[in-house]
Amino acid sequence: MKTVVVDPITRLEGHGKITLFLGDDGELKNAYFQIPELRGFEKFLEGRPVEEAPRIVPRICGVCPACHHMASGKAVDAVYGVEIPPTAKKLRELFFMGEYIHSHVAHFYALAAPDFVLGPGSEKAKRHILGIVDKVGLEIGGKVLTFRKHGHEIMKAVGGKCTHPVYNVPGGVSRPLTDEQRDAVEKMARECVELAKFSLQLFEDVVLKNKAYLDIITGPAYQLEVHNMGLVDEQNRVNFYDGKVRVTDVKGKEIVKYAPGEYLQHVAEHVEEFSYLKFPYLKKFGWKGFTEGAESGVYRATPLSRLNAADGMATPLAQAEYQRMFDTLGKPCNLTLATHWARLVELLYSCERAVELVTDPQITDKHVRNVPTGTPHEGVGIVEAQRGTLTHHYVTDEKGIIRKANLIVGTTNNNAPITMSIKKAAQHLVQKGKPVGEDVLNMIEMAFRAYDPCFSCATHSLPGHFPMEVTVVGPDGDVRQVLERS
Amino acid sequence: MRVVVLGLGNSVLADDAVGLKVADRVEALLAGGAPADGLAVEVCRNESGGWDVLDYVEGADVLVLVDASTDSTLAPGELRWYDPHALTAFTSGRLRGVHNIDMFAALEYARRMGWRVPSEIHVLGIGVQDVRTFTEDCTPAVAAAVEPAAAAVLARLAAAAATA
Repeated sequence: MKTVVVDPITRLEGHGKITLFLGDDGELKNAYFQIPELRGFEKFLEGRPVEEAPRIVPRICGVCPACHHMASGKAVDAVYGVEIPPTAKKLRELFFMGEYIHSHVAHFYALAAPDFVLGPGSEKAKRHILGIVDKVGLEIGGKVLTFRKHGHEIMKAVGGKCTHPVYNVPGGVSRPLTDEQRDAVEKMARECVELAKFSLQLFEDVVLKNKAYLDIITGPAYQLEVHNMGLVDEQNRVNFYDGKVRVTDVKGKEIVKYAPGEYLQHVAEHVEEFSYLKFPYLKKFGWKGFTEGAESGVYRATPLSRLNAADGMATPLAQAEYQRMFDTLGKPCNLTLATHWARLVELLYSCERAVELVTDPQITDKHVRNVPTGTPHEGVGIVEAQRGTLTHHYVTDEKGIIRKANLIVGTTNNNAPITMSIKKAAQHLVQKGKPVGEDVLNMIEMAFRAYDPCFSCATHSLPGHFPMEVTVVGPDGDVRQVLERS
Repeated sequence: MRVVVLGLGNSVLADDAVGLKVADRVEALLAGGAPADGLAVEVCRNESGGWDVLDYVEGADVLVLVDASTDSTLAPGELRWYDPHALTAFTSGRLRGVHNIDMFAALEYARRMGWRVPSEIHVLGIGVQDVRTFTEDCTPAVAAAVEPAAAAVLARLAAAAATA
């Protein structure tokens, strides 16, 4: 048996490895997605004052610090049993929209676009964001920079800093929004709405109007029929900051809708020997292996599954795009690569929602914190991270010292479907008797890049070389093919 | 001349935090009167790198980066000034992480978009022993390198001031 190892995966935060097991005649026998790093963050939290948690957990990773900050802040509120003021809730959500904007922009233009604007089989040396600029021109490239920067600047204006915020405090936020800050944020948010509309138009022009790309998106290599998870408001519309977790089945019917504190009644985690990362599944169905279909316990928590699990979007332009997407692809949609489209719908929603929040007359109210008075004990906070439902659960002693912490991070939810998506893509793309070329490997990577995965906390050390090596090993153990990329 | 001293790293990953600690020390020495005549020096810290570096360097003439280095030829705590052009050779334009294109690719991207980004870049790497344990403390050899690393940065600033 030949072995193809993709290690580490390009464009993936942290460290991951794909192993493809090929038979003697070159056909795919099996595929594994492995996370060889051991996370230790929950242990790191033990013994710390719980009010420090929202400032510590963003260090888990530089990619979605505000998500951890928000989930942690909500969990701390629950630990103290304190209800935050309405303005504090709106400010937290406004801050959060800033992260959604810059994160979704970065993903679409830097990760997804190279495969679609330049083509999945295009020359590797040019298949990146600089190559995109060469193709689409400086004007669009400049818009990307402005768009991303606005996301960061919104976070800074609202919360003081973006990468590792110190904004959430027990019972609210650390400062109100001034009139001047409100005006600056409103201006940026309104510009972002236009940039999001532009991005959806670009997606339509470049991807949807290209039959070859549409065939890839709708083809069998990238389909996966599993359940869908996402946070929804009282009207079952997508909400990133607050609400209940709704899970719908492969036909779109609601399986369960639960409050954050009930998550352990509905989600359990399976362990496989080949990965440190657990595989969450729905308790109602149990773990039945890496299987698709109505009776499987596997679910996805991605932009696409958030839209699948909801009945609509809470802002008008995003709702229209939501409708257009499902009118085109059907609902529920099981096309993994349609996640890119769903991400752009969410991007538009984030921008519109930011405008709604910053123009709310209450947004500059000075009452932004209710100081907790209760005895701390236990609390759960859930938000939608860009890459999936994020759960923080803390148990403290009566002095508020963390005794136990449990985190189910966005990508962990998707561990099983990522593994399955990779295998499915490889089954369709690896051909008997043919060497596994760089173009094929890239198309296999596309199956998991759609999930916007993020594992562990990557170090940021020099020299920054992040090599990619693919090794094909023959049945006798000889290395037959080595592909390197950087 | 506007100079940005940027410490990079993760503050809770042992030696990975050394760039941040050096930035702290440089800032303290400058506040205490260390000479940087003719320079407008801004000391910053960032824990994610890549794209995010653009938020700090827009409009700057000179960038001094300080970061932990996993270069296997460096002993823990050993300092090395890297040739930024050699580091740029690593750049492929592809991402190094999920949302972080390579920092040099990000700078090149911004330059092509007409942003004013530093034309002069100095990169100080500090050899590490442990960048995987969750702790706020560096290992002893790396912690001992903070003071000489800060001195090395100040010497670079002095040299930059002399040519300004």
